[in-house]
Amino acid sequence: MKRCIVAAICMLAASQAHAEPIWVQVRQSQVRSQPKFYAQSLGPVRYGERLEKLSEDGGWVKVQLAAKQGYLPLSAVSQDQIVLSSAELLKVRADSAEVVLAGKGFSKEVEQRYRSEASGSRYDLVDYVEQSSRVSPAEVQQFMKQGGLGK
Amino acid sequence: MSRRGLVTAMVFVLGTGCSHPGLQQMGAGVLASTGYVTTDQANGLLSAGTGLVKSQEDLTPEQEYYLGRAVSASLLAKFPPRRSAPASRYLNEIGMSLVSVSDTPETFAGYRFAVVESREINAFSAPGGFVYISSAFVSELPDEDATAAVLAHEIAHVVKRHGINAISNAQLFSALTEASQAGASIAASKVSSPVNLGPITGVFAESVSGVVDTLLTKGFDRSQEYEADLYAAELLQRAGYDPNALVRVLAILETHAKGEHDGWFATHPRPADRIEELNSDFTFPPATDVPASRKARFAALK
Repeated sequence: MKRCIVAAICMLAASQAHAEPIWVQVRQSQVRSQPKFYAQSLGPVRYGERLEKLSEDGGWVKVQLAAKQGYLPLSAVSQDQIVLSSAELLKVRADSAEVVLAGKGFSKEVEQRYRSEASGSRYDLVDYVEQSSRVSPAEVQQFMKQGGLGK
Repeated sequence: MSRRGLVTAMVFVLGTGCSHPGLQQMGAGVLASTGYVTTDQANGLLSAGTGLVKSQEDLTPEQEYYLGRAVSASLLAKFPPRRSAPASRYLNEIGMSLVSVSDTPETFAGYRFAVVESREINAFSAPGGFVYISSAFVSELPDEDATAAVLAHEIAHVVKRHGINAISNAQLFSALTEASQAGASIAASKVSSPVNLGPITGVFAESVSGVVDTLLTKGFDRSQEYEADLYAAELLQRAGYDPNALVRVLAILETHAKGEHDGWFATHPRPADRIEELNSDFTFPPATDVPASRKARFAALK
């Protein structure tokens, strides 16, 4: 019996050592075929999605996405779990000390309340900037190539 | 005491005594037994109760984004964005060329670059990746590399999270307290009744004011400005721009420095001091001419 318990503990420890879950902490990102910003996309990942981290190197993490392996910027993922409630009101990084602040500190709901109170703010102009400033990775890559950049 | 009040109270009571993982697990079980929260949610709430905001670095990308939007809403009310599609596209292509080689190429909702209408020479960035350059500053810039130098400096403030650091620890501590209460209320209400967002919105407003005041009036610390200059030079080099362009921009600013006390000059160290600091910290390659391909497309910004 004791052996079984020891074996079970060892197996549990081994499985935990290999399993390195990470969570997407940006609204959307692309898993790339190479650790480069403009590498080919293998597929999108979204906020709160759990992935398995395989390795980390130079600002990039290698992850498992379904049957494929690819890369995400380190800044796009968190080692702290992001828990989304069904109502998406309770977004928390469960292993973080500031867990509730992550969800309830500065959130969409707080912005809506703030907008109704901050009369001098121009959120319409922020929305304009966000919508009018979008350039695709392919466009930027072409821009850099044309201008002799990124060598 | 109502059941909602009871759960709220339990979060705080159990939270303060749950520094040991085993105890926390037990506490989570007790909380979950109320039927008002799941075990995962209970664990999350108890984790919050046991911790404190250690520093501004703990803010998540999502929170930085909402803070940045609010700071932008305040800045753009004062300096409206120029509505020129070619200029916007060109500026964002320059900016994203730099971002793509930075250490934070992806923020929660991505970087945004815009020219804003202002007679003051100025540029600023809001948390989350909003970068603005004034029309007066643009009119002083001679080429794409110089424009890239200004954007690189502002990107550096975003990557180094200098804007977030403008929020005082006291404000963040207050935010945590209010947020914990809001979170407990959510748990207790099973997300079925309205949550009182008033207190946390007040803290949010104070944080926004703190960042805006730093950007427009107080300025960052000198050390943060020097750090941003150094990182900007590195970014320019990584992207393939001539890092000497940063020194050229600072030299242009130096010619305007005498007698100017507004905008950039009120919030940044003297350009001559910054050049001196850069020269001591960064090994500049020999200056190169801006290639014809980059000269030709610069007209889009003017």
